[in-house]
Amino acid sequence: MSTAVLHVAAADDSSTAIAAWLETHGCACWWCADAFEAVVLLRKAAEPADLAFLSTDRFSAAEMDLFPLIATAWPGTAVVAYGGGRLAAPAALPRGTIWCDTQAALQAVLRLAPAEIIRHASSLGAAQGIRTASPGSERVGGFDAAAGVLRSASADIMGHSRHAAAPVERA
Amino acid sequence: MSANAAAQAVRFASSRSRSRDRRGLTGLSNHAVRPAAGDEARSAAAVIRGAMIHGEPDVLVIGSQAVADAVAAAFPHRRVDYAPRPLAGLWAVAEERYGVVIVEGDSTGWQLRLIESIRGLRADVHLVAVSPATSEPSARIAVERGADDYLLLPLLVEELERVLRRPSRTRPQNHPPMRPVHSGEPHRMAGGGPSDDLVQLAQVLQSLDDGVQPMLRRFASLLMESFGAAGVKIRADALVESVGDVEEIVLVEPLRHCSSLIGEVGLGRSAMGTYAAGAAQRLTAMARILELAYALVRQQCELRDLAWSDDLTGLRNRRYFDQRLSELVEHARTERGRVTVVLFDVDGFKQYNDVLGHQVGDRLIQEIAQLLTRTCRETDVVARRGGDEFAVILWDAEKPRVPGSQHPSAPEVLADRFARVIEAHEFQCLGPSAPAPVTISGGLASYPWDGRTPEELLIAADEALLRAKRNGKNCIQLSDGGTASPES
Repeated sequence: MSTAVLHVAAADDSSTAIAAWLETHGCACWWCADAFEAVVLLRKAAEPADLAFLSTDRFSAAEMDLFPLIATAWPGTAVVAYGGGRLAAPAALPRGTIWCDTQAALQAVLRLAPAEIIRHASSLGAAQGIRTASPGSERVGGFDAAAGVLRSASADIMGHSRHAAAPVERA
Repeated sequence: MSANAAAQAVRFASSRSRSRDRRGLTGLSNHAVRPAAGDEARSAAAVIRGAMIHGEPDVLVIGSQAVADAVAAAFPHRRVDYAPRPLAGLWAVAEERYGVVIVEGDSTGWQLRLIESIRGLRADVHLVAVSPATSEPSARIAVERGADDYLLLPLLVEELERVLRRPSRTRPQNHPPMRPVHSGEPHRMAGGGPSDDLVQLAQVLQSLDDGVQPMLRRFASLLMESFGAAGVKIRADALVESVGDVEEIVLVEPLRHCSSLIGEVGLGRSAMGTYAAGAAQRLTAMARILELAYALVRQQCELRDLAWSDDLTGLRNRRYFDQRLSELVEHARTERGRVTVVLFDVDGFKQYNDVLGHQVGDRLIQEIAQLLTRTCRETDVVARRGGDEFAVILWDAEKPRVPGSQHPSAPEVLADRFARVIEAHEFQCLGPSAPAPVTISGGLASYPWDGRTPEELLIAADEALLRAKRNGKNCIQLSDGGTASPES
């Protein structure tokens, strides 16, 4: 059975990489142009998505409320947020949220299969989101690898950072 | 914006300052809503619930507490809830108990998106935009995007009552659950881009000659593809054309002609999820084009109708008859059908003109035309070819021919029936001084037995008519089949 994915991104947003990833992995996909459309979908969808990609580049502050709404409507859905250069990550990301604050971080996530991303997200503690590191960080490199390495990357993120200048935050 | 911040919005303060004679909302009713303290108010999905009241549908205010309080004061018998955060409000809109949703904002950006999204979720809800007094032009845009009406701050009781009691202009609907689109299917929601729209629109306009119904069908298909709709339904006057699944119409735009409402165009649910931003606005623009195309094709039909009609009788004229006969013979050739041509004329018509005058002769022709129309089937083509000569095409409403089939008897029955009707009819226009009872003679020829081209059929029918005349008139003669050329 294919992975059901929600993709929230503006029509002209650079989400080609995600579209290609969806096709590569044979995912079934809902696409929404913004958070408002996504809320309509959350209300109307027959079943929850397994995974959601949210491009927060164009999000207004009000649209950041989409994160807790997804957590409420689809509690088991893993969320990957990307392109969030403009807005800071919410202080409290819901459980199962991977926050990619760089394109490199997103690309690292997209090297994984859907099941690996979901497994990684679900391994995050309750009420904890994670943030990938800034460009050049080794932690991004940690994300490159397969599931085994990913676990260590997760551990790294969870408190073993050696990069004081760009500390990885626990939400 | 937190719930507390929303509650501190200045809009209510400004309405407090209105003088009492303008019925500014200066007091809160017992049912005024209060923001809940603590966690609920801080939650993104928080909706502050007003007191439960049975009766009229509940009101949801997405905006400040001040506006919610104002609405609660104006409608003490309604439950008024409010959501200070837009997405939380949108989330709450799905609850069926809300009959009225009020969206406060400056009619730009997120407020418009919110209005469009609410419409995507609930087509049946009465949706009102509330904007600052200086934002009236943009508040009108909110109406274009899906709001039923708008109000300007500060809110006045009489305006609130007027606007909130007005019924929604959209239709009720139920939302089926949506399923994701599988990869390999189009990833984006909308269909073709603007250039595709233009190409298809040009094709629709180029085919106006085909008539109203085909034009409506093509336009419906265009809209279906352009909007990525599951179905489209167009009603224009008595004509209805629909394509796809139109069980649930979620977006409707009225159609007008010379300021009069003539119908509407409606989109079914989006085939790909929800409609993209600006869909309502695009539909409005497309409806204006449809109105123009409809008016054009109607005008064209009227002109063509004039060109194809006989002035005296209102029947089809010779030009139309000849064209239609060619089409029907061609159709019969490809579908193994049959076509019968019957030519009639009035026996001794000249004497009516000579004795009673041409005016009476004209009225006689008109009366015969009416009888002929009443006697023939709807599918038959009845025409006046000139003078006192009428022609009917009886084409194959029955089953196609099968190998070894015989010369048709049904057309002969119809022609005989017509002759008897004429004979039995009392023509009022003739009066007591009629030179003779009115009778007709006719000749009948059928494709493929009596002729394989329109010309051959007409010659065969004409020869049969001459034989009827020679045989004493007042009868219908079948062609002897002598004019048919060998089938190629």
